[in-house]
Amino acid sequence: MNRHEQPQPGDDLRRVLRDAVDDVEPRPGLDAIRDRTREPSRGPSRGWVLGAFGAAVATAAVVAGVAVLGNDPRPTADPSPAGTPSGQVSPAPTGDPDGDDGTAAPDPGETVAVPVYFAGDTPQGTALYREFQRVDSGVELVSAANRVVRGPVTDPDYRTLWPEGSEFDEVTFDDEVIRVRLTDASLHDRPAGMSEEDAELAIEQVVYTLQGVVAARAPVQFLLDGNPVDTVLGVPTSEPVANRPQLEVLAHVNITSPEQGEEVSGMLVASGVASSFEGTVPLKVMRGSEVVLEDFATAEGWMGKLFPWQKSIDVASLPPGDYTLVASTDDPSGGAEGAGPHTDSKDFTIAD
Amino acid sequence: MIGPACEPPGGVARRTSVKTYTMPPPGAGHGAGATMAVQPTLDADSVVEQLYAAHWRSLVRLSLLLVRDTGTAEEVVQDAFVAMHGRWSRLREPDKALAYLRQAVVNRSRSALRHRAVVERHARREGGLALVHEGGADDASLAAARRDAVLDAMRRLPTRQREVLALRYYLELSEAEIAEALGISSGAVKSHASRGAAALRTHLGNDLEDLR
Repeated sequence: MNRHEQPQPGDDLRRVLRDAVDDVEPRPGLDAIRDRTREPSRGPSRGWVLGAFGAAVATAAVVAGVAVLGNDPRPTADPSPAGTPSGQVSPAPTGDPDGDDGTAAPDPGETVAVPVYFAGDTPQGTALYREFQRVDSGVELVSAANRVVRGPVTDPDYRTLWPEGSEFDEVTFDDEVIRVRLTDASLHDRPAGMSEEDAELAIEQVVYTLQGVVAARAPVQFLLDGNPVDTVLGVPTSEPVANRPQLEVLAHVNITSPEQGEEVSGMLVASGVASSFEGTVPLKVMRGSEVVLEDFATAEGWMGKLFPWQKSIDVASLPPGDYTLVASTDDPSGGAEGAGPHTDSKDFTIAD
Repeated sequence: MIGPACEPPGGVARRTSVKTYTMPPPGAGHGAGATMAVQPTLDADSVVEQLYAAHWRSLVRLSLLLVRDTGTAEEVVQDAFVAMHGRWSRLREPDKALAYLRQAVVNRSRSALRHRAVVERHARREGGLALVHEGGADDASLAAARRDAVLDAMRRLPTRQREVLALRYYLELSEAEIAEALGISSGAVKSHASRGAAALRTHLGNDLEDLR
């Protein structure tokens, strides 16, 4: 590095880097790659195996699996996930296909759907709701984490619990632990005005989101300057943080499809997850404050965690316009006991 | 709900033999679909072979600049090829496959480094992790020492700066290509590049002095 008058800026660095590695002759790897790509067990089966992690993550895994592995013959710019039967089930948002996190997204084609958990209200207080968003493939972990803290939030009923200006630098996963690197120490303490419960839920927003992205119930270690940080938002984080039980943290009903603002025609394919008495998920289609259709879905289970549900609702008879789907948990006491049902709603449009 | 549609074509494509068949197997997922493609389409295995032949070395060396260890670099790039093979039905163009490979190599190098940092901290605590040089005091070992100095200097940079420098000055990628590979804006590429270059020159200035 003794020549500093080089003809091209950076020539010195070019030479130094080439000198450093160009005489390294890697061992041949083609045979190993062939062996591994011949294995039928890698990849496609993942979504199914991981179903055991519970409804929320299973759905995320399957959706992500579709987005990544589907054989969609159309150009990848199509924002709907590949491989859905008719285009009506659309677990990924139709807007904002290129996902940016405040940086340019040079390739809008390669995106994946990730679950992002936000806060919303239930009769029992704040709980987490999930929506799917599209982010650039390859950086989905850090993108999803930054969506959690900064949005955008597609559903207007949801919000993030993280203070404004929060950001993560880097997120990695090594098959055991998800590591989240904080940009600076500003997130160490609980901000004035934030309750302890909200701070814990904010941490769970990140935990549930990243577990959904990696499709594994791996604990999350928060790092600052490469070392575990003792608290984040005042919540102890010296050890990796595991997810708290779904029923303590998540809203008990959550609509996946339609997505907020989706356009529908003929058939509304409603789906989501719920933990509701006997698996019953009452559904209402509203126009303004008027209920125009009532139906219900039956979730695959109802004890201990959230289970998937789905229902096709014929909306062909409804005039074009803006509607809202409301899903709720069942309240067999009719409001006489407890604080009433959990609900989730999505606005959608019936096309001309 | 979306179960049946989730059967991806990858599993089928993976079982094809490398050179013998003349038409895509059913469900191979290339645009032609069920109708027989008369024009030979590139299948995942062939594209792996092509890109391997052209880029295996440079990608391993790229990863080496990022992770500092050849064995790890080989694993990282192998994993990236396997991942690319699984996604071929969506990439469909060798250019896109190569861009995907680069991105995968950078991301996986970053993860590998994170993972190893923990191990190395322990090793250092237990009595100094000296650089291991093979050979004696000859040209080869001097080259190795120089390599270590460069890799060490790279290692001292923040992750993003290191990645931008490797992509820019080793792979000679454009700003836009680097932005794509790292998922950051070109403005960020520029600032990481200039800060990284300055820092690397400073580190190298000190370290390489000693080896001359």
